[in-house]
Amino acid sequence: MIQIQNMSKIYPNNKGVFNVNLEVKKGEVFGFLGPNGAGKTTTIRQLLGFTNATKGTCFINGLDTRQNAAEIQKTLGYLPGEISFFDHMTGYDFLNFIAQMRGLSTTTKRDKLIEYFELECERKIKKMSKGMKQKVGIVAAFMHNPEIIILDEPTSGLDPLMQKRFIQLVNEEKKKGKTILMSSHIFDEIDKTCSRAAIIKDGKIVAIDHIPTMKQNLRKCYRITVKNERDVKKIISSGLEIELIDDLKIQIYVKNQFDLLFSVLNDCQVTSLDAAEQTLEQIFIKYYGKENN
Amino acid sequence: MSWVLFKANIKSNRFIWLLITGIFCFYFMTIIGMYDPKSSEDMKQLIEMLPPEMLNAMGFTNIGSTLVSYLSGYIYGFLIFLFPMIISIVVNHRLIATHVDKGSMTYLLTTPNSRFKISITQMLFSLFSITLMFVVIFLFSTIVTISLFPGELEIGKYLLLNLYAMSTFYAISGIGFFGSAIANESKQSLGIGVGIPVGFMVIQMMSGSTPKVEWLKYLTLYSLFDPNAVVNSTSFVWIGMSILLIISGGLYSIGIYVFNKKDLYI
Repeated sequence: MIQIQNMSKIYPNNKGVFNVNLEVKKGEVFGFLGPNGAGKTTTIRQLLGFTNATKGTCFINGLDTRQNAAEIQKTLGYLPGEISFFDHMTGYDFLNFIAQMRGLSTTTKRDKLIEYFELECERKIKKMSKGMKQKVGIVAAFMHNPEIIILDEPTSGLDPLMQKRFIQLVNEEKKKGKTILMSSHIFDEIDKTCSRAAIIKDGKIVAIDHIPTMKQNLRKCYRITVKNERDVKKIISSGLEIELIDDLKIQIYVKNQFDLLFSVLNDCQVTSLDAAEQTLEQIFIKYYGKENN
Repeated sequence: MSWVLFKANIKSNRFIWLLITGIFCFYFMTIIGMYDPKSSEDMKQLIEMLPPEMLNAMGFTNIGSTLVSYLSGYIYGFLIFLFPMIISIVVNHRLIATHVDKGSMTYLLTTPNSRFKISITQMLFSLFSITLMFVVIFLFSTIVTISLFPGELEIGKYLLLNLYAMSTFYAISGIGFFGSAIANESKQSLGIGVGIPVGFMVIQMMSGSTPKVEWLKYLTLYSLFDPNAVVNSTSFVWIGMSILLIISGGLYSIGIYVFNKKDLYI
């Protein structure tokens, strides 16, 4: 359904994306993972026909994305990463405007989505919070029941409840056989919806794999505080991969050695244990290579 | 062309359009109210009290004795540039550059409408806003003038004067549209759309102020608009009008071409 072949888009400052090859099959929910600035949006812009590739081509439904953008849009839904609407419009004005631009006559799905996301559509978009605007964008991307959906960081700005609802929505669309490409910098979000994912770093695809395979390579990170220096020494000498945060605070990275972790911690006086928030680089150290490297 | 987008354009530009057109009509009333064929000598004396450099700069040069020459001197010499220029700047900037700069162009292009269709729609709206303004100005001023001074207005000449002025504005608006279409950021669009027409106007005023710098007038598009040519029925009207229309067509076409080809970082 979505094919990117040897595509490079190089900006004047030599940044951009390089030799991207990617295929999303019909009915697949595909994750596009990468930290901010890795080239996710650059790739997606190309899929929407906004930019001219330096090299290579992209196809959606067999149509060249730059040449046939308008034709492709008939069956495509898109949620931009940065949402900007027509400020003077209310939510309803905007959704009606987009529906008319699409020649869409039914409002069934739109109304369902508005209710589902508890969207206050009467409000002027200018006065809406970031999360509320994001909801408007989501409704606009799904309301015409598109076959292919491209979502650029779809849950940013949404509160946890709405994030959950959004993931449910994606999973429902997946059941209906929709093809979805979804970018994110949060692994969990991709894990809950996608079957496969690509990881992009510095403009290059570093991995394309099934999610379960990726998870095997995933590192977990725990932040542990112990009682005294002796415990710290014990942990350091255990062979676990660690990082000292301050005198008694240690960050431990674990992939498969949970047994070792527990046996070491058993000997120490642990005063607190947290699962630390991690960046993608930290999770995918295998794909990214060591940090500061 | 997308009628839905056209209607949205009307909605977002109607206020500025009504405001400027209204002010112009009001201004016209004031000027025409001052016309008095019998006391035009008094008017001339009053004018002569002002420094001639200033009068030249403002284009108040040929205050003839007929109604059309009076209007062409007072309104079509200078003021006609000012009011439609404001509309042209604001409208053209909004039509494309604002959407690209703010990112709302994303939403226009993620509907099944090609860039070409979107840009053609915006071009038609741009021309429409200028045309409608001149239609309103012409009808309003004709009705007012005829009712105040029955039989004095040479309607044919006055219509030609308006068509000629409108052609000038197609070209000026073409500059604004071109800037709006090729820009990636608002400042580029405004730089071209405001900078060039205002620059032309300043040059026009300077070239009129003293004969020493009269050559400057060859640097501005406004020189192709010569109201005296209408008053005196010379062929320059047609030459000027043709060149202005060709310039306008060129600017709109290049703008659309570039917009269709360029990278949009939206």
